[in-house]
Amino acid sequence: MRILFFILMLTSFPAMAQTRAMQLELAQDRVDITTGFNGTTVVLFGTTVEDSPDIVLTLKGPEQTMVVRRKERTLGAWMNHDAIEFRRAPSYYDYAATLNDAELDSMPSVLEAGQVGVDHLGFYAEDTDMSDVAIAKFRDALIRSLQQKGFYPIKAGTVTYLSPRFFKVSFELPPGVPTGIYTVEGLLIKDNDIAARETKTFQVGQVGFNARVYSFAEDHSFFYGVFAVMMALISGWAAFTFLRRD
Amino acid sequence: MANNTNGNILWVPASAGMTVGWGSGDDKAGEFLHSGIRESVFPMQIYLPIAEMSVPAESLLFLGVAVGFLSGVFGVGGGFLATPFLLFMGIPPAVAVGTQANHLIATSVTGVLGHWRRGNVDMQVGGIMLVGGMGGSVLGIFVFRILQHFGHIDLFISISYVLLLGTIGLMMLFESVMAVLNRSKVTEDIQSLAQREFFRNLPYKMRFTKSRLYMSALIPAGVGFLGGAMISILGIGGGFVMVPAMIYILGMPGILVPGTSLFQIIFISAFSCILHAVANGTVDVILAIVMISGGVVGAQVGVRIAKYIKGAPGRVALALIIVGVCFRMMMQLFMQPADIFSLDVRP
Repeated sequence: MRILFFILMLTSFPAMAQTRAMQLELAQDRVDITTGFNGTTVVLFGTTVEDSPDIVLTLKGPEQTMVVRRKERTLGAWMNHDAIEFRRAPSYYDYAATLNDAELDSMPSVLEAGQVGVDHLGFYAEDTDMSDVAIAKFRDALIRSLQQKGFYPIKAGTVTYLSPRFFKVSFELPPGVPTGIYTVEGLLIKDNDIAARETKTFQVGQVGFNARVYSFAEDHSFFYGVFAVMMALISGWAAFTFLRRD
Repeated sequence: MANNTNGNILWVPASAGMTVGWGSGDDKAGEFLHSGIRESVFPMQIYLPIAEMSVPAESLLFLGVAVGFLSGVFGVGGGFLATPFLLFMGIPPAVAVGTQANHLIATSVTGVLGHWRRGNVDMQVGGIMLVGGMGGSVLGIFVFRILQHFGHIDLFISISYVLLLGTIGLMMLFESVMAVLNRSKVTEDIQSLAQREFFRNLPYKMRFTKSRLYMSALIPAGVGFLGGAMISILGIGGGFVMVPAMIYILGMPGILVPGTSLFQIIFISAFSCILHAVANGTVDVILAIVMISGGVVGAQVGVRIAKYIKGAPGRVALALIIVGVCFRMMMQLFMQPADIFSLDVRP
């Protein structure tokens, strides 16, 4: 019996002892949006086994279907003409790397596999009879539009090594950031290839009074509407009664 | 009293700010997700739970005050100003219109009570109008959803505004400038549309005792229908369309018109507000509260200013504002946009 246990220990121990090449930890597992929410910073720490290896981190918000429309001049007025629907586009995206842009560009397979950089995101156009060149323009427009809102990055962020095996990354979430589950993915790069992957998720959601308003409006939309009407009636009446105009 | 309301407005963003960050300090030990409120051009942002976006609280409040001011000075609802400006601020059209339906209730209630007290509300005409108005709102919500799906809602709103505001604004400008120049003739006693041959032959004739009218119930119902559609699609009560319509189409006595118009707007906008909440989930009470509060303050100032403004020059000013908003909408329509691409998120 004791021998059996010992053998078991022996066989399983090496597996247990083998630590992961990289570990990530988020400071908090949720971002709270309150009424005064004005954007925030998501801070992430990580450790590696080797000394300062090359690391790339990506942060993706919940995926959404987005429609990009192009305006054209019709009878002098600018109106939406053609549109392409993109599926599975992350509503928020940011990335950070220890490598510079030139180094990143030298390993396209890694960028593709890890969806590193806005040009390598995995969203795709819904069936359309437009040419690839046209689709690329719409795709660029989607990215540009989200970059303007601060939801997509202009360039890669930096990874700071606090010590050779301990790093810190921070991502900025602007006000109005989409709510939902966010995924951070860390890629350990070795010899132009992904040596290890590690993911963590956290939630961005409304809390407190906001969350209650939101869920009330979602779950009991009729009563929410009635409540809104009552509120308006009372405030209109109060404005007349307490603040006489004549 | 005015102070009290003012305090109320400030309460929303300020207390919320406390909970986020000012206590927790700035990036202490690089800690965690909240590193406090960052500096921004607008010191106070307010998060709208339904629109799911942050907007500068000051501009929102200022908009509410401006709209209230106009309603105080000119006695108009101000929806025609509020909706376009909410859109300019980047609030999604659906939320702007849905919330405006809510805002309109408050302003109309405030407005109607005075007329009610003086007995200037014809509930009979108003009642028939609001039956038609409910039909109009249902259709409006339906049309809104279709247009939104195909990405033409902004265009539709812009065109409607340009046409409506352009027509009414120019007519008003012409009339009021004439009045200022003192060349206007006394309004001729024109025959209302309801008394014309075609309208007289419509069925469901009713006697409206208070307005001393005898006409088909379909006519006020039809006018109400238009009003309901306007509230649901454009987010305006359309007082400046309804009032002339009630005078020239129905032939109602002028003194009963504003009260009756406001009376039925309350019900139609309440109905439209609930429809928007249920069908689209686009009524943002926080946005509405800020707008209403600002409106109350603005209206108080406006009413005091109104005493010093004479009728005709006042109408010139209002007409100019209407034409101005129309022009702004028109520019948006005809000028080449900075980016010809736009992005929508499918719900």
